[in-house]
Amino acid sequence: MEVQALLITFREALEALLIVGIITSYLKRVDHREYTKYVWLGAGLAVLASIGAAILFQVVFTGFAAMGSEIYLKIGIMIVSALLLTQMVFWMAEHSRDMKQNVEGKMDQFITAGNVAGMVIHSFLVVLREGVETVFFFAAITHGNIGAALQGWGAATGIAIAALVSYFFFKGTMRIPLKAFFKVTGAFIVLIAAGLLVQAISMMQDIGLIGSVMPHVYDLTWLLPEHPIDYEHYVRDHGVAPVFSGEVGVFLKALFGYSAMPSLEEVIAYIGYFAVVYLLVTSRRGQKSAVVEKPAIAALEEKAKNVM
Amino acid sequence: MKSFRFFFYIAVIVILNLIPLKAFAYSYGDPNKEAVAEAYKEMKEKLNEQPPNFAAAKEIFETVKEEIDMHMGPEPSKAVLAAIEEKDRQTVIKDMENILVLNIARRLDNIEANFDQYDTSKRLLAKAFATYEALSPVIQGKDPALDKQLRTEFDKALQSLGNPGLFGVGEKKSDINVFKKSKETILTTLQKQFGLKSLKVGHFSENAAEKPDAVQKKEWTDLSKVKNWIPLVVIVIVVLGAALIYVRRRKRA
Repeated sequence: MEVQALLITFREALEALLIVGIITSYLKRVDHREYTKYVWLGAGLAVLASIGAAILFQVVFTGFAAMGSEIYLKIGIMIVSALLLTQMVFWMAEHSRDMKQNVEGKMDQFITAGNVAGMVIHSFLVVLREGVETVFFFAAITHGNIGAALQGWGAATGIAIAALVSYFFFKGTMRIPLKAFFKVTGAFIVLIAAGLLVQAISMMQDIGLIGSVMPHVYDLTWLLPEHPIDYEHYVRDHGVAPVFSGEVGVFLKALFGYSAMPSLEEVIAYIGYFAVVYLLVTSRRGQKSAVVEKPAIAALEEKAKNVM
Repeated sequence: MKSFRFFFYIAVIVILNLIPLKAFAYSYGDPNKEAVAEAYKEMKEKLNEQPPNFAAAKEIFETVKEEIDMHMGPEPSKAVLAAIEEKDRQTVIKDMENILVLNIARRLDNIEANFDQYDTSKRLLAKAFATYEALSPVIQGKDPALDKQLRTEFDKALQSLGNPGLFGVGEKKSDINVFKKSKETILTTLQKQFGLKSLKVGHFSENAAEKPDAVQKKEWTDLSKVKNWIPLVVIVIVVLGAALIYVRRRKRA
């Protein structure tokens, strides 16, 4: 159980620290370190809120009627998270372009009260999502005794390793040009957000909240099951093992929303998501270059204030 | 060189993430829903159409047949499929109801065998209760008081599981004897009501240790239901809307 707890906290903390790290290193790069503490405050509050959620599900919502509510909470957080991450992508895309047109010294104008509040909300929700996931995973490995998973060395070690990896990761990125940093992390965030969106759709279809015209477009369980349990079931039902392990699938699922047997809606939403983000980012670019041609830098500043 | 280093760090994270994660509970499914009970409700809906839609009922049954065969042996499925073949609506429904009673028995047996595993037991009991919910209208039609009593027994069984609490908050001791008593009441009542000779039919090919469910996506979908089309329509509208914004902005630019 200790190793399981370690892997859970490591993975969840790493995911949260990646996003929080992107925000705080951005603040450092634009010389506004004074706001970093608010971002961490948001993250800290989310940890407390996760414990609150654990108490709620462990002690309060235990009747038959309330038992299904954890899945609604998950779906809700996933959708909000996907929306916020998408908005972060737009914001990053916009700023990486502005940087080309402005000297880095003018960066101050991009930090507004709204921006900072947005960053704090981002860090709060990202950490809350990972915290709630940790709670549900802990409930699973300990058969319901969430507190037990936190008492050993596993959980703390997982968080420590995640912190160490993210520290070195962001130490490395400080030397990379801000534009490249935004581009690569932006691409990474788009993949995560698309995955969250598709997972939310998948969950809603699994519990019958929304319907589907075609529940399976294809079934790749024989090649790469999306979870070790699907792997086991495949071996049980067919007598042969799938080509790749379910461990690979569970990773791809957690990070990018991989599904071995997606519905038509999942497939279209996944491809559509990239198309929509691409179209909206490039159309803003077109619009912006038109504005810049006019001698009105003020318009650009106004726009930056509106973002985030 | 610098960007190489950046990608190297990303690769490190990806590789570290690949460290095997052992099987966590992985059921997206609503704990308050049992696939077999859901199939029964959908089949009943199709069989109540005028004339009864046996083809659709068979298609729905096929989605749970494997699970039923695995847990209860091949006989129950054979009986249902034969009745569908003979277009005997009453027998199909009756056989399905018997399967649901056996399903409740299976879930309750598994809870008893894994009584100390709070999370699993709680979910299994929710599934047993969801199965009962499908049968409840039948009992209620005959004897509303009995239906109420059975619901109370399910609640008592849930209480008997106790609660490990969180860091000592809300901790409650479990009591297997209370659970056994409720289980006995529920099963004997159902057996009598539905006239089953035994609850041990084909009982049970799989190990009593219940494993979490894999995500069971249903193969069957009802294209005549508007509900099934809504998600697709919404997604397509959003994508087309974005494309329209793109085209307009380009024209303006």
